[in-house]
Amino acid sequence: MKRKDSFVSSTGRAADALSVTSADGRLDFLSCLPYEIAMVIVIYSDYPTIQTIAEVSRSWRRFARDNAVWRRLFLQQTEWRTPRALAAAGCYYHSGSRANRVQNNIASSRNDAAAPSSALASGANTPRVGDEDMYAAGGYGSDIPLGDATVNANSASMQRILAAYTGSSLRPALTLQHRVAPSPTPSLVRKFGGRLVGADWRYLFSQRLKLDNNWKTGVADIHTVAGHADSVYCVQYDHEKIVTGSRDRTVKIWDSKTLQCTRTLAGHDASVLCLKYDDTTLVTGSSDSTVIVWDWQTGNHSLRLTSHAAGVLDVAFDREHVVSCSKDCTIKVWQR
Amino acid sequence: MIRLQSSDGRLFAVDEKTGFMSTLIKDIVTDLGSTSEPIPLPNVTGEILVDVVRYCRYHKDDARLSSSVPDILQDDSLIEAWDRKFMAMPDDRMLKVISAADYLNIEPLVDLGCLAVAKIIRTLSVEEIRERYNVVDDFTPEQREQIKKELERMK
Repeated sequence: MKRKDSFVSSTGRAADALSVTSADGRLDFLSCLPYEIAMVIVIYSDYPTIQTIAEVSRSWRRFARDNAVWRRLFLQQTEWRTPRALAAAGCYYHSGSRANRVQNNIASSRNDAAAPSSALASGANTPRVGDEDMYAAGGYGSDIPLGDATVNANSASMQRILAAYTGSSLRPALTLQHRVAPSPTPSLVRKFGGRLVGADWRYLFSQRLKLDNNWKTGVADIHTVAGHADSVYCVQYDHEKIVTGSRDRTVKIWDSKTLQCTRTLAGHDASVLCLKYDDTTLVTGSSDSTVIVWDWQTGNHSLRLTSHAAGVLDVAFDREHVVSCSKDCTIKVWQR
Repeated sequence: MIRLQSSDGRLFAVDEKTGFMSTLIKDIVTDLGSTSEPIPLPNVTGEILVDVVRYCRYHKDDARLSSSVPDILQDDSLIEAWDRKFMAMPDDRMLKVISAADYLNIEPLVDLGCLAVAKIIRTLSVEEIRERYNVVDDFTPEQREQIKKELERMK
């Protein structure tokens, strides 16, 4: 049987190696054990221990830098398991309590969509190529290249390791391209010889850790952006732009990086109280009791919804409907 | 009854449930049918097989657990007392047990052994690791500089 052979050969290696223990029983096991087993030991380690392991010797360092180790460290942090991170990790879900726990984490992280996605995006703007550990990028596809040794990801022990990474039944994605969520952060994956090899999980981990530390220590740059003539009542943002609505009756669009105002949208006759936008459309509600649907890229209104008898306090929309609620005690559902 | 023979000729008799903790043994018995001939295990010495059999005998009635790696990392009390006692053995014996468990394909024992080693490493400094496991520091001065820089960046 094929699998038996692989165990015999892998243990044959270990048996030979173990027979050369030094007289006092001290053995550099990471260098002697088969790769899969040494990896199990390493992935049982926490973040500080991985850092320690990385300083012991060159061969130990290679284990500590293995992309798969960092993927696991990353995914162990429950708050970091955003839909984008899990998509990058190529996780499938099967029924079972552990999988459900993961599902719940996704559900809860959907509610605060802006923060996690910026965590993944922030700072990861330059593709990282040329590191000496580029070869250890594996975890996807049917083979995991690791320096000289190529490990078959379908072997029983590899499957076990991979399943341990996220605590859920996990089958590695065959091609990373299909697993990474579409996003304006192409640097989430690294290119090696022009071929997508997988996310740099160590880099992602360090960025996310830095972000967490910044939140904990209150390290932040404060930028004051002035431009509206009156109170700012509502805001929505992404990594390209910030959109604000104000008592000055205008909506302003600001560049996220330069914080310059790139467009001012006028159209309401009173304060802009609420706004929401997606890829193409901006919807605003105002004290003037109307809802305006805009093409925010051109600044044109496409629709003005007049029906409320008092100020429109909140709006939401999807492809088919716009929903508005008002001081007039009604909620209106508009068909687009 | 399944008969096992270690590399140094020691014979062990285990019941089927115990033996089947090892997927390797299970496959052999299923393929060859029950036989009075002992199954030779040329890669496992008698001394180590004693520990392996002891583990399997104790755990043979355990329900098949899914991988519980994340939980054990956080909470020591999730490891039962018997396992904790089992884990307390000299390093080289533990490594041989892990190796044997891998050869015999006894997944929970591989996990337990690796966890034991990981827990020890977690308490050690870089120097202590080198000392304990006889590892040579083979970094060049340039590499050591690079490591120092990276540690700063990670903070």
